[in-house]
Amino acid sequence: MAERNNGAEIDSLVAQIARGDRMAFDQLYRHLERPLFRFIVLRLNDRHRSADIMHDVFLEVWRSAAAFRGQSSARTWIFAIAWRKAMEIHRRNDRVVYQETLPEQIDESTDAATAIAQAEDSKAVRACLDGLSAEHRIALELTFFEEMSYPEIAGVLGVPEGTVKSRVFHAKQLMLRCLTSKGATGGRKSYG
Amino acid sequence: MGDRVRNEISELLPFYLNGSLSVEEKAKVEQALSADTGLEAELKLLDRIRTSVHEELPGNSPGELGLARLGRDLAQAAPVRRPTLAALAAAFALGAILSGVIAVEAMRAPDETYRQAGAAPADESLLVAFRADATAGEISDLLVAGNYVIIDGPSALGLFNVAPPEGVDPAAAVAELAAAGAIVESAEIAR
Repeated sequence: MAERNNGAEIDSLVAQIARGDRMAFDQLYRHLERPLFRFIVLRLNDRHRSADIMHDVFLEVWRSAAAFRGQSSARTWIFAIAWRKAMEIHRRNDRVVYQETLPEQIDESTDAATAIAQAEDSKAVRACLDGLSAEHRIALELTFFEEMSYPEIAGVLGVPEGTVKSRVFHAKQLMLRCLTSKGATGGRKSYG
Repeated sequence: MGDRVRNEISELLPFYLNGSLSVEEKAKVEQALSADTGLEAELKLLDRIRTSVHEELPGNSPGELGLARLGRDLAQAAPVRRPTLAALAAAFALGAILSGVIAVEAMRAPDETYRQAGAAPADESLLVAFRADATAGEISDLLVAGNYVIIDGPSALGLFNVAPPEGVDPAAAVAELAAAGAIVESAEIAR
């Protein structure tokens, strides 16, 4: 898990890498390898290809650390590189992005009490998370696993801050609807 | 609380939970939470989702094998060093000299000493960074002696795109330039 307070350490490691420090590079790799891999797999759903992308991300960090001017945190910069590379592959494969129909307001058919009761069942929550589109899943990943702020997520994904907030909001609405539906049907209904 | 304000608070809840809100936003959320039990329920749900996201296994990442693989490639991928002011000054001076060369050559003869950035690039070119303390004269002498042609540069990082002499293997050209270590900081084949 990435912790918000290791951002300064990552900034410092990138500054050392900019001076050609190989040990700092190894340390950075050990800090970020797992969360970056997780993040890329969520986008591509292909572990082998994700490993190759992550390899390219770290090579780019090594080559370009000196060009990093600190407009964002180094962590945001590195995740943004990963996002750009993953999206290049994703677009090249011409995959169709499934877009859910999103409720703009609180859905009347959802029942918060039922959803919260269902949320006690971790299997149900996991199944609902798996049913989300990559965009929504990634928004939740960056919010809850990477614990990024919405301006940081906007920097990674290259979208306006408002889009990040509404994407996470919609992901939560979809989870609420999914969990309500599972509660109403004894957890057997599929959700997509 | 109106729907618009409620939705605004609802959008901030995930970031309240991960502790990334500003002091003002946090205070706004806390005030709304104390007045709206529905928002409290949403927060509970978000907390459960957050726990599930954390519990999810990261899967088999490349780990130390990935680092070993990187180690092999890093040897060939020299980091681009941030240019010092001296290097930028030298690059600027060289650029100015070369601009003069271009102007003279353009008037004088069609033989190629400098290929402009817009021209067709060589099949394989080199990315070259010169040492901060190398003088424009030393750089110029090195390139002229080896029949190298500057295609482009300096970039914002002080890098020059250089074409090797015709018929010379780019790898051999890289080795030749790298051997002039007092002048050349790094040389690699451009990709």
